[in-house]
Amino acid sequence: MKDFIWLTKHFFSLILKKPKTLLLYLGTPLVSIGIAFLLFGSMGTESVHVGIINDDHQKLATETIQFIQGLKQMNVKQIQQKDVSNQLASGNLDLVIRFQPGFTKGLYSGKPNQVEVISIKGAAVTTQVESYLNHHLDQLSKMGQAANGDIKMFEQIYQGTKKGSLQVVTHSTQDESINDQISTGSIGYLLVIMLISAANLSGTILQEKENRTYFRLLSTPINARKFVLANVCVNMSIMIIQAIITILLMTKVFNIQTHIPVWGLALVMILYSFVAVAISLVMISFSNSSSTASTLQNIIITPTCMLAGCFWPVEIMPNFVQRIADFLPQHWTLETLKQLQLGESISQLSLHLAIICAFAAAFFLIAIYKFSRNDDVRTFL
Amino acid sequence: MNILELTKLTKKFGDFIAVDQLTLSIAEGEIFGLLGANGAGKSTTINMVSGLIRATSGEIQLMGKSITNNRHFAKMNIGVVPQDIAIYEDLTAYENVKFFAGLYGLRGTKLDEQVKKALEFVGLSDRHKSFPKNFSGGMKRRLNIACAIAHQPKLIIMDEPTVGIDPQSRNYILNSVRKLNEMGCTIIYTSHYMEEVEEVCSQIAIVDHGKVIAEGTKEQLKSIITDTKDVWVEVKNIDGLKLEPIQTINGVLGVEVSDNQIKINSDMGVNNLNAIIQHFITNQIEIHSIQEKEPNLESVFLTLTGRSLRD
Repeated sequence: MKDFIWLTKHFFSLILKKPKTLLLYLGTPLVSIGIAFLLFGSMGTESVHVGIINDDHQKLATETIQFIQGLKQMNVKQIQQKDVSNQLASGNLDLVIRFQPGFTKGLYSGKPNQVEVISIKGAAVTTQVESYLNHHLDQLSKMGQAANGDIKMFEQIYQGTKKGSLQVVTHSTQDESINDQISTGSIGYLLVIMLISAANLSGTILQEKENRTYFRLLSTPINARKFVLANVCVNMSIMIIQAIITILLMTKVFNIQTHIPVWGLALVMILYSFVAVAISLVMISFSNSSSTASTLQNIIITPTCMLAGCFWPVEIMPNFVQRIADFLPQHWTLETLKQLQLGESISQLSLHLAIICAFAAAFFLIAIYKFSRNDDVRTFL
Repeated sequence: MNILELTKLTKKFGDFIAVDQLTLSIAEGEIFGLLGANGAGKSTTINMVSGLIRATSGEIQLMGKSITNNRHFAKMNIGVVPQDIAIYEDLTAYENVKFFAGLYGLRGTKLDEQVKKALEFVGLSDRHKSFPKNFSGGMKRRLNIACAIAHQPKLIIMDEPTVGIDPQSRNYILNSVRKLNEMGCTIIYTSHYMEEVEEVCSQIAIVDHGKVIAEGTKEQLKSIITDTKDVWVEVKNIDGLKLEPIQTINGVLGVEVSDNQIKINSDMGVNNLNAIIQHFITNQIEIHSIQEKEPNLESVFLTLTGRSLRD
């Protein structure tokens, strides 16, 4: 046991001796969050660019334009009729609102018909503006109906509402789906980074072989099992530290609400660490050089992570691809986290956790079997 | 007392028999030379003794204990200097030796003392803080040795410890081998350099096709294969030299001429050097140099195995 601890400490010291490698292992979680922010962070926060054509030039048209300008995340500018097509086609404007002649007159009489909304982006862009606009015009038209065409009466009611009795207040509500996308996106990328890190750390087994220190070690009281186990210990520790750093950065630094209990998140990530290390050992066991291991890493990690939904939601992929994802541990890890986000408890997800454990066990068994099949001086176990 | 005994040791890789019923005894305090061409089974034997691979059959006993059942005991008492330099480039010389010594359970002051002693022994005390990447090939080889001796093993296996180094470092290492032996270590020494083996080994075994084909002191090995000697005479001018009279000299078995050199093969038991010299003086042939050569290990090896050691 003493020699095992000595060897494990040695592996750690070798990592600490290389600040760049250490920075790579511990800094990559930040990269995962960064990528998720880049991809999902901007969603739902962009302004809507609105063009206004005022052909009415009356009081209520002007005040309605001011109302639109006062809405949050609206970028409003006045344009001419001849510019509509160009501005919409070039994407400079998302929609155009045209106040036709007689707009104010129509409102006074309670019939607001002279307004037109033009867009080539469709309901995705126009719905929000239209709902605010309709609400505003509905209020004005009701005042018009109450005044029954009497402009003086309308003005009295209108001024009254402006002074405070009737006001439209807008609030921006937090879009939780974006927050959840950033957190699951960060974790998706973290899963990829953890797999790559695990493969690199297990790769030191091959490097020790290539440097001949592995064989030198086997002539000491260290045997191959202790050697691999010490490597696994170091590997696991780095994986767990990466997961902790990611969780802390997400919650404490970037204030991303994961909507997952911290301990549940930690448990799932620890289980995934086992899977990552086990997969890396399988890749090493089938490699006889660092270059072979590197090729295997490229063949296995990126495609499986794509299929499992680490880079994008699995739901956007065809059905048959989604079925393939069911056979990938990354998918089950993400799925467990999604369920936790939806409010399921850890105990309700025991089957999910058992599946992740089963993946880890299966990969470890494959690695052990493959290692033990070697019977020459290059043997591992 | 024998420190190491190999009995009918066999190692098979599939159908290939790398070591075939090899039996060998190494007495305590010897410097034992293991000679064999590439693929002879020498490295496989060393790998089995040092615990890198398991034997297919047969027995290895270290200090009277089977290493199969006492693997930890065996490893604690063996120090291996591998043919390939096996050190960590990212660790200093001191840290390298400390790491390997620590694997044998040494800790604290004892560890520090042993590490310093090992570095001093190989002449790297003043470079203990340096990284091996700044070392010459010879210095790396010496560090390789320090890593193997810091835990003070009873048996040291040195596999080609002088490959690719300068003569100065080579001499340093050969002296270190003798010193280690004087300090009580038994050493198994393999080398492609026959003169090194002749120089330092007290006992030699020649391995071929996985078997020991000859064993003994260097004198015993030489006497196994030949009872003749060669006299090389270099003359100024070979014109007018007649070979037949030389062949009539007592003990001469054959004469060969190459350029201005005459190789005279004679019976080892007959001292005919004076008669040979007299023949050249009588025939007024000026002698430049004369040299009597006894068979060396290289010729012994060649005769026994039919191939050179470097084949």
